[in-house]
Amino acid sequence: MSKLWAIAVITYKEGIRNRALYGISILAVLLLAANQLICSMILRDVGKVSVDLSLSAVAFAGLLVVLFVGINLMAKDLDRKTIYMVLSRPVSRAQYLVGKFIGLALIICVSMSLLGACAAASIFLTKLNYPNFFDRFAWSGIFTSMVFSTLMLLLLAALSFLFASFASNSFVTLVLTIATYLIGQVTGDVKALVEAPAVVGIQVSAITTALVKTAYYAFPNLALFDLKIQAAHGLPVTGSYILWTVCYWCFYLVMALTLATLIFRKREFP
Amino acid sequence: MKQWRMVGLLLIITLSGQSLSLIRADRAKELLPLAVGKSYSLPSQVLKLSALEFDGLLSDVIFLRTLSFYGKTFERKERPRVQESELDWIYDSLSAASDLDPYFLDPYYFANSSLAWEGNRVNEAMILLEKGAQYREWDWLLPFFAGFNAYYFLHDNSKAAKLLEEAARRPGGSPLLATLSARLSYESNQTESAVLFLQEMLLRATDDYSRREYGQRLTALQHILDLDKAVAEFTRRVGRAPTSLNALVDLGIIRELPREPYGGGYYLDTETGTVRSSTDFGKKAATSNFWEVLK
Repeated sequence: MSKLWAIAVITYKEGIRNRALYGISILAVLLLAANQLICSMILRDVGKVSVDLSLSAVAFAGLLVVLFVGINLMAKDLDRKTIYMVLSRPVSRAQYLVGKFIGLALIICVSMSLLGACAAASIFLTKLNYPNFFDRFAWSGIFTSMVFSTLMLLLLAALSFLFASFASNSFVTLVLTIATYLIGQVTGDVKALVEAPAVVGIQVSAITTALVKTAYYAFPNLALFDLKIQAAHGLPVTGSYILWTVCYWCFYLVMALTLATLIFRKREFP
Repeated sequence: MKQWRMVGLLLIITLSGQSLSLIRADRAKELLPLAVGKSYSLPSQVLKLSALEFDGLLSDVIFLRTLSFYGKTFERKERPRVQESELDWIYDSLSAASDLDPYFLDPYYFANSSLAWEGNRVNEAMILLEKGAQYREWDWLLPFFAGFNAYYFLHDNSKAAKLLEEAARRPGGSPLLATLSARLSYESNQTESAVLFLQEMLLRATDDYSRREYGQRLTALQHILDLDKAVAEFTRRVGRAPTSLNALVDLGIIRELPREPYGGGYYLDTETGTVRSSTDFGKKAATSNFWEVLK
């Protein structure tokens, strides 16, 4: 356990020192400042647009953290062969992988908290300027949405570890992670489309339907974690939705990490 | 020192060069066949897929693009200011924005002012307003707008009464709505009902554009209401209807003819005996038409 924690702490420190984090933070602060400007152009639903922009900025910056900081942490260890240094010590490969993941998870949680605080400040400022246009507004919805965004990023990070466990270099990992993110965001919508093709006036063959359905269960459904519109309009999110989505997240995360460990243990290093 | 001067000069040249070419490129872009306002709007299913987790954001962006396009048309001199094909595009864009986030109020609100009020596209505006009213079930404003359109533009009193009843039932709906709904259920003075409607709409308008639009229409309708009363007074005193509105001034019932807010004037439609606006509330060009009518 102490070894696991040691690796996690080292990973966290290494990641926090990454210059990319500063760039990502600057981007997020700029986007949040743009929030004030854009909201001044909205006729009525200022609260909605403000929440939308802030949560999207946080989600986007968080995505960059996973793609450019997270992938570097594990894949670069393999690229630069620094992994030999670690594995020559009395640390199992499973410990190494899970430790790395915990470190990355810490980085994601800390950056999302910082970004979230910026977003909340930005929304608060807009609310001060346009107090009449926030009639259906609840901080709880915004908090839930941010927590769910964080869960999504953690899941994506776990998947990037799975890809890194067999990919030959970090670029392949990056491409696979981006592809998973893209598929994960649309798989629900595509499934709905092929199940009711008449709505949009398209024809779908039985093979396509089968393929889409297989992909739906194989790839993670990341759209489940998107509660931005609910937060923006103060729409209710049921307890069962939260419960089942969190269950799904736990199962998928453990599955991805288990698979990653299995493959990583068998992997031969040149 | 000389080197620094060279670098400074180079920077000034490139900075002004890029700003200048940006302005020219921007102008040239408007002449491209696929400029904003004419281009094809993507179907909302495709947009929804490509938006990933940023549906709400894309909806905001599409709405703002439509709004800024519409704002730009105010610089034009030609009448009608917005082409029919551009109104199609505005409708498609607002429809797509409301598909991406059906709870977003602004596309509906803006559709009402641009399509129903300005563009004479009441049916399209109604589709959007009714869609918005269905999703935003807590919001009384959208069924209220739809009710006004049904009454004022479509002359469908029973539909208007139903929509107003719906608006009155929702939280925050003004008690006036129920009265209005009742008025519409039986035929009463149309102009008077419209004035009541507009007073409420003016009260709720938050943007300058809508406020001006509603304010102008309200002033014009109030003028017409006053003139109608003056015509009735004339008929009562003289025993016959006046042939023109100037007769009202001559008899001293009114001191002068009010100024129509759209730049035209008022005239008496001798066939129906009603007072009308020469510009049809700003839809026709003001001057020439008005003088033709006076002749």
